[in-house]
Amino acid sequence: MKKFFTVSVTFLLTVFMLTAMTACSGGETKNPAVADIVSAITEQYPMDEDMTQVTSENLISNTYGFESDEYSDLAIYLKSSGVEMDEITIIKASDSSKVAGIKEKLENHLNNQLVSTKDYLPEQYAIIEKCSVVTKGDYVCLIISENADDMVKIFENQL
Amino acid sequence: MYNQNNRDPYEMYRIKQKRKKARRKRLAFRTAVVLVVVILVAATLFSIGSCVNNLVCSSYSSGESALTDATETTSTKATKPTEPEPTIPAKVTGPVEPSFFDKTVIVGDSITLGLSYYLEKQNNQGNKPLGDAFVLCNGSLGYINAKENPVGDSNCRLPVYKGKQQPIEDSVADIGAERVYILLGMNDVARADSKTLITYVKDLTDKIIKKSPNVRICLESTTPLIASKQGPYLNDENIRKFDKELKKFAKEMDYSYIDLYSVVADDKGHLKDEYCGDPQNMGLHFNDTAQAAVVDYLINHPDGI
Repeated sequence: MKKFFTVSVTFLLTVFMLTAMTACSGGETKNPAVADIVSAITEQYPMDEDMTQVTSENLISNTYGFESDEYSDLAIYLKSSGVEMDEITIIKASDSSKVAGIKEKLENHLNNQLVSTKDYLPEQYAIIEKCSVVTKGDYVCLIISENADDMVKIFENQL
Repeated sequence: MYNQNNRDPYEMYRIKQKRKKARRKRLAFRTAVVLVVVILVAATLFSIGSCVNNLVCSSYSSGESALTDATETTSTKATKPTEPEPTIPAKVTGPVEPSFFDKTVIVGDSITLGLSYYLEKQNNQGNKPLGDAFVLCNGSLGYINAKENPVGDSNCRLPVYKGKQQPIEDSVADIGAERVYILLGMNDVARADSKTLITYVKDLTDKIIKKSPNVRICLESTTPLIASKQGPYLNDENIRKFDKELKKFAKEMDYSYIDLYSVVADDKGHLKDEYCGDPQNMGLHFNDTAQAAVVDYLINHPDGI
């Protein structure tokens, strides 16, 4: 009886451990490159040719107020027509303590886009109003687009 | 063994401990009182010291102003040092190198926003036609709302600098600009007559000069719309009226005046169709061809001459 009990407990523990290991490996944190996330999004929703990639530190720092030590990876694409505010901005914070600050700055930028299009570009205003800044782990994302909801889901699925 | 009082040794020990405790309490109390007294004395001395210092300073400055008020009688009194005259960069003819624009700020609305993206595309290809020029713009910025909708106002349209909206003159000063190009007016022409608008232009330029006395102001003419988008108030006739006043104002103030209108207009005075980036929309924004023409003009006529 004692032997049976010992064997049963050992067996159950083994099963439990194997199950736990499998479950945990399924939830392993992903750290994709921001460019790969953008590629996944644009595979489903290709960018127009007048989407410009912003790379100059001056423009990044001025438009958003980001400092280079806040992020380890970022991609910013903006529509350059001046009348459409389409945007894909994805940032990986340099560490998790920077996420809140980056989110706040992106929200300030979003609000600025909202104010600048109100009365001036009402169609753009209506699109921007439905957009928001999203975070997942150390990643922060702002997508301004008619398809923003779907594009954000793709972003989240990459992480 | 008992002591001479015939008390239990344990009892004696307890009495001794009590006395020690009482002594410690008295010592702590006395130390606290001394500390409080020291702090009070120090605070009092400090306050007295500050009062005396203020008295001395105010008597010195009133004495000094009394000294300067009683002017021509003596020649040995000290005079207030005069502020140096501003050294505004001279007007130049082009062509200039891209580095000429390194300490330049370009202030504008959505048309200038398009310029910033054009320059970014150039930058991505390794070109910097306007050097390190800094673009300070916001989509619906105008001369009027730059004054009437300050920071904190829900309709503030001031450009963002380092992620925060602030007055244009503050951003120009923070950047340390030597030249400021201003391309505004498209968001103003429909709101006020030309003479009223010039008062807003003066307000903005005065504020910039006050904070950055050594800066050269370069006023760029408001640009036209395509023929099919002429409105009842926002139209090329009103734009030209404003530009005429703007040019006159620039001449009076010895500011540079850049006639961008002529650069982008067709022979009928409207924005060239091939330059328009939004013919189905507002009909006034520039495409990259137009931005290239503007950049080329600035390089060859940095002060409009």
